[in-house]
Amino acid sequence: MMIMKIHDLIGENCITLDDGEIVFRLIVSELNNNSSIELDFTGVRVYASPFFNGAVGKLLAEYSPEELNNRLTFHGLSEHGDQVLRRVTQNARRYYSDKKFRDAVDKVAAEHSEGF
Amino acid sequence: MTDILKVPPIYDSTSDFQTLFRIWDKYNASNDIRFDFSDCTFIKQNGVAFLAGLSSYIRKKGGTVSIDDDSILPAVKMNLAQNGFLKEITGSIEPWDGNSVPLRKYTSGDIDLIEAYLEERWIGKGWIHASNLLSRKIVGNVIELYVNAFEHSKSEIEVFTCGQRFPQKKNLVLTIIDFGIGIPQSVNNFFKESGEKYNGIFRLETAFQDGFSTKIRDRPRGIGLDLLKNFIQKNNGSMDIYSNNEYSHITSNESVYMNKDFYFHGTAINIKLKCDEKYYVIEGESLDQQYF
Repeated sequence: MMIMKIHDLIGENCITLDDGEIVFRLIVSELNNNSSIELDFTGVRVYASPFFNGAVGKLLAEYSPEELNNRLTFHGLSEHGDQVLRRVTQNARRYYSDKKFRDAVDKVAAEHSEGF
Repeated sequence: MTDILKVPPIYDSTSDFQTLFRIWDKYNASNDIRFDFSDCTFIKQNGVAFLAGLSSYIRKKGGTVSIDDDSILPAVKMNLAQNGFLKEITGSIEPWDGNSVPLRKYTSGDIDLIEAYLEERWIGKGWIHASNLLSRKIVGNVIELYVNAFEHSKSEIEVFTCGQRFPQKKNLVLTIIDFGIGIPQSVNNFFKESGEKYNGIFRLETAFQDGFSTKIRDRPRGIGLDLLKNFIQKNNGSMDIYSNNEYSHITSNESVYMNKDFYFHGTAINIKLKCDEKYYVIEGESLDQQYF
Protein backbone atom coordinates (compact mmCIF):
# COMPACT_ATOMS: atom_id res chain seq x y z
CA MET A 1 0.00 0.00 0.00
CA MET A 2 1.21 3.47 -0.80
CA ILE A 3 1.01 6.00 2.02
CA MET A 4 0.59 9.60 0.93
CA LYS A 5 1.54 12.13 3.61
CA ILE A 6 -0.71 15.07 2.93
CA HIS A 7 1.13 17.40 5.30
CA ASP A 8 4.38 16.90 3.37
CA LEU A 9 2.61 17.34 0.07
CA ILE A 10 0.23 20.23 0.76
CA GLY A 11 1.02 21.62 4.22
CA GLU A 12 -1.19 22.08 7.22
CA ASN A 13 -4.05 23.76 5.34
CA CYS A 14 -6.16 21.50 3.13
CA ILE A 15 -8.44 24.16 1.74
CA THR A 16 -8.24 24.86 -1.96
CA LEU A 17 -9.54 23.02 -4.99
CA ASP A 18 -6.13 23.34 -6.65
CA ASP A 19 -4.38 21.55 -3.78
CA GLY A 20 -7.11 18.94 -3.87
CA GLU A 21 -6.48 18.34 -7.56
CA ILE A 22 -2.79 17.75 -6.93
CA VAL A 23 -3.76 14.96 -4.58
CA PHE A 24 -6.43 13.73 -7.00
CA ARG A 25 -3.88 13.23 -9.80
CA LEU A 26 -1.61 11.25 -7.50
CA ILE A 27 -4.47 9.08 -6.30
CA VAL A 28 -5.62 8.35 -9.86
CA SER A 29 -2.10 7.44 -10.85
CA GLU A 30 -1.86 4.92 -8.02
CA LEU A 31 -5.33 3.52 -8.62
CA ASN A 32 -4.46 3.00 -12.28
CA ASN A 33 -1.39 1.04 -11.15
CA ASN A 34 -3.74 -1.21 -9.20
CA SER A 35 -2.26 0.01 -5.91
CA SER A 36 -4.05 0.76 -2.68
CA ILE A 37 -3.49 4.13 -1.05
CA GLU A 38 -3.68 5.57 2.41
CA LEU A 39 -4.03 9.32 2.74
CA ASP A 40 -2.31 10.31 5.98
CA PHE A 41 -3.53 13.66 7.31
CA THR A 42 -1.34 13.73 10.39
CA GLY A 43 -0.22 17.32 10.97
CA VAL A 44 -3.00 18.90 8.90
CA ARG A 45 -4.84 21.56 10.88
CA VAL A 46 -7.42 23.13 8.58
CA TYR A 47 -9.86 21.35 6.31
CA ALA A 48 -12.32 22.72 3.78
CA SER A 49 -14.69 21.06 1.35
CA PRO A 50 -13.13 22.43 -1.91
CA PHE A 51 -9.98 20.49 -1.11
CA PHE A 52 -11.86 17.22 -0.66
CA ASN A 53 -14.06 17.94 -3.67
CA GLY A 54 -10.94 18.26 -5.78
CA ALA A 55 -9.06 15.39 -4.17
CA VAL A 56 -11.65 12.65 -3.70
CA GLY A 57 -15.14 13.80 -4.74
CA LYS A 58 -14.29 13.50 -8.43
CA LEU A 59 -13.06 9.93 -8.01
CA LEU A 60 -16.68 8.78 -7.96
CA ALA A 61 -16.97 9.80 -11.61
CA GLU A 62 -14.52 7.05 -12.54
CA TYR A 63 -14.56 4.52 -9.73
CA SER A 64 -17.33 2.71 -7.90
CA PRO A 65 -17.88 3.34 -4.15
CA GLU A 66 -17.01 -0.32 -3.50
CA GLU A 67 -13.67 -0.04 -5.26
CA LEU A 68 -12.80 3.20 -3.49
CA ASN A 69 -13.77 1.80 -0.10
CA ASN A 70 -11.48 -1.14 -0.73
CA ARG A 71 -8.51 0.71 -2.12
CA LEU A 72 -8.49 4.19 -0.57
CA THR A 73 -8.22 4.67 3.18
CA PHE A 74 -7.77 7.69 5.43
CA HIS A 75 -5.65 8.15 8.50
CA GLY A 76 -5.03 10.95 10.97
CA LEU A 77 -8.10 13.06 10.15
CA SER A 78 -9.33 15.34 12.90
CA GLU A 79 -12.99 15.05 13.87
CA HIS A 80 -13.73 18.14 11.79
CA GLY A 81 -11.74 16.82 8.83
CA ASP A 82 -13.64 13.56 9.04
CA GLN A 83 -16.96 15.44 8.98
CA VAL A 84 -15.96 17.54 5.98
CA LEU A 85 -14.79 14.46 4.09
CA ARG A 86 -18.00 12.55 4.80
CA ARG A 87 -20.11 15.48 3.71
CA VAL A 88 -18.16 15.80 0.48
CA THR A 89 -18.34 12.09 -0.37
CA GLN A 90 -22.04 12.04 0.48
CA ASN A 91 -22.74 14.92 -1.90
CA ALA A 92 -20.46 13.46 -4.56
CA ARG A 93 -22.23 10.09 -4.39
CA ARG A 94 -25.50 11.83 -4.99
CA TYR A 95 -24.06 14.02 -7.74
CA TYR A 96 -22.65 11.08 -9.69
CA SER A 97 -25.59 8.74 -9.17
CA ASP A 98 -28.51 11.10 -9.80
CA LYS A 99 -28.58 12.65 -13.25
CA LYS A 100 -31.40 15.05 -12.41
CA PHE A 101 -29.48 16.34 -9.40
CA ARG A 102 -26.30 16.64 -11.46
CA ASP A 103 -28.04 18.64 -14.17
CA ALA A 104 -29.52 20.99 -11.56
CA VAL A 105 -26.13 21.57 -9.89
CA ASP A 106 -24.43 22.12 -13.24
CA LYS A 107 -27.09 24.62 -14.27
CA VAL A 108 -26.72 26.63 -11.07
CA ALA A 109 -22.91 26.49 -11.34
CA ALA A 110 -23.09 27.72 -14.94
CA GLU A 111 -25.39 30.58 -13.98
CA HIS A 112 -23.01 31.60 -11.20
CA SER A 113 -20.00 31.50 -13.45
CA GLU A 114 -21.78 33.70 -15.99
CA GLY A 115 -22.28 36.24 -13.25
CA PHE A 116 -18.56 36.76 -12.81
CA MET B 1 -73.86 29.25 -1.47
CA THR B 2 -70.12 29.43 -1.92
CA ASP B 3 -68.14 29.97 1.26
CA ILE B 4 -65.21 32.30 0.71
CA LEU B 5 -62.21 31.40 2.83
CA LYS B 6 -59.93 34.41 2.98
CA VAL B 7 -56.60 32.75 3.60
CA PRO B 8 -54.47 34.82 5.99
CA PRO B 9 -50.66 34.89 5.91
CA ILE B 10 -49.65 31.58 7.51
CA TYR B 11 -46.36 30.98 9.30
CA ASP B 12 -45.80 28.07 11.65
CA SER B 13 -45.95 29.54 15.14
CA THR B 14 -48.47 28.27 17.66
CA SER B 15 -50.85 31.12 16.84
CA ASP B 16 -50.68 30.20 13.15
CA PHE B 17 -51.60 26.60 13.95
CA GLN B 18 -54.41 27.90 16.11
CA THR B 19 -55.61 29.96 13.14
CA LEU B 20 -55.59 26.82 10.98
CA PHE B 21 -57.58 24.88 13.58
CA ARG B 22 -60.16 27.67 13.64
CA ILE B 23 -60.35 27.52 9.86
CA TRP B 24 -60.99 23.79 10.09
CA ASP B 25 -63.78 24.25 12.64
CA LYS B 26 -65.39 26.97 10.60
CA TYR B 27 -65.18 25.47 7.13
CA ASN B 28 -65.02 21.68 7.33
CA ALA B 29 -68.81 21.37 6.95
CA SER B 30 -68.84 23.54 3.84
CA ASN B 31 -69.96 21.94 0.63
CA ASP B 32 -68.69 24.67 -1.65
CA ILE B 33 -65.58 26.57 -0.69
CA ARG B 34 -63.43 29.03 -2.57
CA PHE B 35 -59.96 30.04 -1.42
CA ASP B 36 -59.27 33.76 -1.67
CA PHE B 37 -55.55 34.44 -1.29
CA SER B 38 -55.65 38.23 -1.60
CA ASP B 39 -54.64 38.73 2.07
CA CYS B 40 -52.08 35.95 1.97
CA THR B 41 -48.61 37.40 1.60
CA PHE B 42 -46.89 34.20 2.71
CA ILE B 43 -47.90 30.62 3.34
CA LYS B 44 -45.65 28.04 4.91
CA GLN B 45 -45.72 24.28 4.48
CA ASN B 46 -48.13 23.74 7.39
CA GLY B 47 -50.72 25.98 5.74
CA VAL B 48 -50.30 24.14 2.45
CA ALA B 49 -50.73 20.70 4.02
CA PHE B 50 -53.64 21.91 6.10
CA LEU B 51 -55.60 23.52 3.27
CA ALA B 52 -54.98 20.48 1.07
CA GLY B 53 -56.43 18.31 3.85
CA LEU B 54 -59.44 20.58 4.27
CA SER B 55 -60.04 20.42 0.52
CA SER B 56 -59.79 16.65 0.48
CA TYR B 57 -62.24 16.37 3.37
CA ILE B 58 -64.79 18.64 1.71
CA ARG B 59 -64.49 16.81 -1.59
CA LYS B 60 -64.83 13.47 0.15
CA LYS B 61 -68.19 14.68 1.46
CA GLY B 62 -69.23 15.55 -2.08
CA GLY B 63 -68.43 19.26 -1.86
CA THR B 64 -66.51 21.42 -4.29
CA VAL B 65 -63.30 23.36 -3.78
CA SER B 66 -61.91 26.10 -5.96
CA ILE B 67 -59.31 28.84 -5.90
CA ASP B 68 -59.67 32.46 -6.93
CA ASP B 69 -56.61 32.31 -9.13
CA ASP B 70 -56.40 36.06 -9.67
CA SER B 71 -56.20 36.67 -5.92
CA ILE B 72 -52.83 34.94 -5.49
CA LEU B 73 -49.74 37.14 -5.26
CA PRO B 74 -47.04 36.08 -7.76
CA ALA B 75 -44.50 34.94 -5.13
CA VAL B 76 -47.16 32.96 -3.27
CA LYS B 77 -48.39 31.46 -6.52
CA MET B 78 -44.87 30.36 -7.41
CA ASN B 79 -44.58 28.63 -4.04
CA LEU B 80 -48.00 26.96 -4.31
CA ALA B 81 -47.21 25.76 -7.83
CA GLN B 82 -43.78 24.44 -6.92
CA ASN B 83 -44.90 22.41 -3.92
CA GLY B 84 -47.84 20.90 -5.78
CA PHE B 85 -50.73 22.65 -4.00
CA LEU B 86 -52.16 24.14 -7.20
CA LYS B 87 -51.90 20.77 -8.91
CA GLU B 88 -53.72 19.14 -5.99
CA ILE B 89 -56.57 21.65 -5.90
CA THR B 90 -57.01 22.70 -9.51
CA GLY B 91 -55.18 20.00 -11.46
CA SER B 92 -53.15 22.70 -13.15
CA ILE B 93 -49.41 23.39 -13.18
CA GLU B 94 -47.06 20.49 -12.63
CA PRO B 95 -44.88 20.96 -9.53
CA TRP B 96 -41.12 21.11 -9.95
CA ASP B 97 -38.03 20.44 -7.87
CA GLY B 98 -36.66 23.31 -5.87
CA ASN B 99 -36.59 24.09 -2.18
CA SER B 100 -39.91 22.48 -1.44
CA VAL B 101 -40.50 19.05 0.02
CA PRO B 102 -43.55 18.48 -2.13
CA LEU B 103 -47.11 18.18 -0.89
CA ARG B 104 -48.18 14.56 -0.60
CA LYS B 105 -51.14 12.65 0.81
CA TYR B 106 -50.74 9.12 1.99
CA THR B 107 -52.83 6.21 3.18
CA SER B 108 -51.82 3.16 5.18
CA GLY B 109 -50.79 1.21 2.08
CA ASP B 110 -48.18 3.79 1.16
CA ILE B 111 -45.42 3.00 3.66
CA ASP B 112 -42.87 2.29 0.92
CA LEU B 113 -43.75 5.55 -0.82
CA ILE B 114 -43.46 7.46 2.45
CA GLU B 115 -40.06 5.95 3.08
CA ALA B 116 -38.86 6.97 -0.38
CA TYR B 117 -40.35 10.44 0.06
CA LEU B 118 -38.63 11.05 3.37
CA GLU B 119 -35.32 9.66 2.16
CA GLU B 120 -35.23 11.34 -1.23
CA ARG B 121 -37.18 14.54 -0.70
CA TRP B 122 -36.44 15.35 2.94
CA ILE B 123 -33.63 14.03 5.12
CA GLY B 124 -31.60 12.47 2.31
CA LYS B 125 -31.74 15.33 -0.13
CA GLY B 126 -28.36 16.66 0.92
CA TRP B 127 -29.67 19.61 2.94
CA ILE B 128 -28.80 17.78 6.18
CA HIS B 129 -25.66 15.68 6.49
CA ALA B 130 -26.39 12.49 8.34
CA SER B 131 -24.93 9.01 8.05
CA ASN B 132 -26.97 6.46 6.16
CA LEU B 133 -27.66 4.59 9.37
CA LEU B 134 -28.89 7.69 11.18
CA SER B 135 -30.96 8.82 8.18
CA ARG B 136 -32.64 5.43 8.03
CA LYS B 137 -33.42 5.54 11.73
CA ILE B 138 -34.82 9.07 11.54
CA VAL B 139 -36.98 8.04 8.60
CA GLY B 140 -38.10 5.04 10.65
CA ASN B 141 -39.10 7.31 13.52
CA VAL B 142 -41.03 9.67 11.27
CA ILE B 143 -42.76 6.70 9.62
CA GLU B 144 -43.78 5.74 13.14
CA LEU B 145 -45.69 9.03 13.26
CA TYR B 146 -47.51 8.14 10.05
CA VAL B 147 -48.23 4.61 11.23
CA ASN B 148 -49.76 5.92 14.42
CA ALA B 149 -51.92 8.22 12.35
CA PHE B 150 -53.06 5.41 10.06
CA GLU B 151 -53.72 2.89 12.81
CA HIS B 152 -55.42 5.03 15.38
CA SER B 153 -56.60 8.32 14.02
CA LYS B 154 -59.72 6.87 12.34
CA SER B 155 -59.35 9.67 9.82
CA GLU B 156 -61.70 9.64 6.84
CA ILE B 157 -59.05 11.19 4.65
CA GLU B 158 -55.34 10.79 3.99
CA VAL B 159 -52.41 12.03 6.06
CA PHE B 160 -51.01 15.22 4.52
CA THR B 161 -47.37 16.22 4.35
CA CYS B 162 -45.50 19.20 2.99
CA GLY B 163 -42.11 20.73 3.69
CA GLN B 164 -39.86 23.55 2.71
CA ARG B 165 -36.21 24.41 2.86
CA PHE B 166 -35.33 28.01 3.65
CA PRO B 167 -31.77 28.56 2.40
CA GLN B 168 -31.36 32.02 3.98
CA LYS B 169 -32.53 30.87 7.39
CA LYS B 170 -30.72 27.57 6.90
CA ASN B 171 -33.57 25.44 8.07
CA LEU B 172 -35.71 22.64 6.75
CA VAL B 173 -39.27 22.19 7.92
CA LEU B 174 -41.72 19.35 7.50
CA THR B 175 -45.35 19.24 8.55
CA ILE B 176 -47.41 16.09 8.90
CA ILE B 177 -51.13 16.42 9.59
CA ASP B 178 -53.88 13.93 10.10
CA PHE B 179 -57.48 14.88 10.55
CA GLY B 180 -58.48 12.00 12.78
CA ILE B 181 -59.27 11.86 16.48
CA GLY B 182 -55.88 12.85 17.89
CA ILE B 183 -53.18 10.93 19.74
CA PRO B 184 -54.40 11.45 23.33
CA GLN B 185 -57.95 10.46 22.40
CA SER B 186 -56.91 7.42 20.38
CA VAL B 187 -54.55 6.07 23.01
CA ASN B 188 -57.01 6.58 25.81
CA ASN B 189 -59.58 4.72 23.72
CA PHE B 190 -57.09 1.92 23.18
CA PHE B 191 -56.52 1.40 26.88
CA LYS B 192 -60.22 1.64 27.59
CA GLU B 193 -61.16 -0.93 24.95
CA SER B 194 -58.33 -3.34 25.66
CA GLY B 195 -58.94 -3.28 29.38
CA GLU B 196 -55.19 -2.98 29.80
CA LYS B 197 -54.20 -1.07 32.85
CA TYR B 198 -52.58 2.24 32.33
CA ASN B 199 -51.54 4.53 35.06
CA GLY B 200 -53.31 7.77 34.43
CA ILE B 201 -54.31 9.66 31.35
CA PHE B 202 -52.12 9.46 28.26
CA ARG B 203 -50.11 12.53 27.55
CA LEU B 204 -48.10 13.41 24.50
CA GLU B 205 -45.02 13.20 26.68
CA THR B 206 -45.40 9.42 26.72
CA ALA B 207 -44.94 9.29 22.98
CA PHE B 208 -41.35 10.43 23.38
CA GLN B 209 -40.35 7.79 25.86
CA ASP B 210 -38.04 5.13 24.56
CA GLY B 211 -39.95 2.00 23.64
CA PHE B 212 -43.35 3.57 23.42
CA SER B 213 -45.51 2.86 20.42
CA THR B 214 -49.22 2.94 19.85
CA LYS B 215 -48.99 0.10 17.39
CA ILE B 216 -51.09 -2.96 18.14
CA ARG B 217 -49.13 -4.96 20.68
CA ASP B 218 -48.97 -8.35 19.08
CA ARG B 219 -45.43 -7.61 17.98
CA PRO B 220 -42.45 -5.89 19.51
CA ARG B 221 -42.84 -2.22 20.09
CA GLY B 222 -41.03 0.32 18.00
CA ILE B 223 -38.37 2.55 19.44
CA GLY B 224 -40.81 5.38 19.93
CA LEU B 225 -39.72 8.87 19.07
CA ASP B 226 -36.74 8.97 21.32
CA LEU B 227 -34.15 8.94 18.56
CA LEU B 228 -35.93 11.63 16.57
CA LYS B 229 -36.14 13.76 19.68
CA ASN B 230 -32.43 13.30 20.41
CA PHE B 231 -31.49 14.16 16.84
CA ILE B 232 -33.61 17.31 16.91
CA GLN B 233 -31.92 18.36 20.13
CA LYS B 234 -28.40 17.72 18.80
CA ASN B 235 -29.23 19.56 15.60
CA ASN B 236 -30.67 22.57 17.49
CA GLY B 237 -33.90 21.99 15.66
CA SER B 238 -37.37 21.83 17.12
CA MET B 239 -40.54 19.82 16.96
CA ASP B 240 -44.06 20.91 17.79
CA ILE B 241 -46.97 18.55 18.12
CA TYR B 242 -50.57 19.67 18.43
CA SER B 243 -53.08 16.97 19.18
CA ASN B 244 -56.49 17.53 20.78
CA ASN B 245 -55.80 20.14 23.45
CA GLU B 246 -52.26 18.96 24.10
CA TYR B 247 -49.14 20.63 22.83
CA SER B 248 -45.54 19.58 22.99
CA HIS B 249 -42.54 21.65 22.06
CA ILE B 250 -39.13 20.04 21.82
CA THR B 251 -35.95 22.08 21.43
CA SER B 252 -32.29 21.58 22.29
CA ASN B 253 -32.89 23.23 25.67
CA GLU B 254 -36.22 21.91 26.76
CA SER B 255 -39.14 19.62 26.23
CA VAL B 256 -42.38 21.33 27.10
CA TYR B 257 -45.70 19.52 27.36
CA MET B 258 -48.80 21.49 28.12
CA ASN B 259 -52.50 21.78 27.64
CA LYS B 260 -53.80 24.54 25.42
CA ASP B 261 -57.09 26.34 25.48
CA PHE B 262 -57.75 25.37 21.88
CA TYR B 263 -58.61 21.98 20.46
CA PHE B 264 -57.70 20.20 17.24
CA HIS B 265 -59.38 16.90 16.54
CA GLY B 266 -56.43 15.46 14.68
CA THR B 267 -52.68 15.75 15.02
CA ALA B 268 -50.33 18.29 13.48
CA ILE B 269 -46.58 17.78 13.71
CA ASN B 270 -44.03 20.38 12.69
CA ILE B 271 -40.38 19.34 12.52
CA LYS B 272 -37.75 22.04 12.02
CA LEU B 273 -34.14 21.05 11.37
CA LYS B 274 -31.04 23.21 11.01
CA CYS B 275 -29.21 22.87 7.71
CA ASP B 276 -25.76 23.22 9.22
CA GLU B 277 -22.41 21.89 8.11
CA LYS B 278 -22.16 19.15 10.69
CA TYR B 279 -22.10 15.51 9.80
CA TYR B 280 -24.41 13.59 12.12
CA VAL B 281 -23.97 10.01 13.15
CA ILE B 282 -25.97 7.92 15.54
CA GLU B 283 -24.63 7.80 19.08
CA GLY B 284 -22.16 4.94 19.34
CA GLU B 285 -22.05 4.50 15.57
CA SER B 286 -18.56 3.61 14.51
CA LEU B 287 -16.86 6.20 12.39
CA ASP B 288 -14.80 3.43 10.87
CA GLN B 289 -17.56 2.88 8.37
CA GLN B 290 -16.76 3.35 4.75
CA TYR B 291 -16.41 6.83 3.34
CA PHE B 292 -17.75 6.24 -0.16
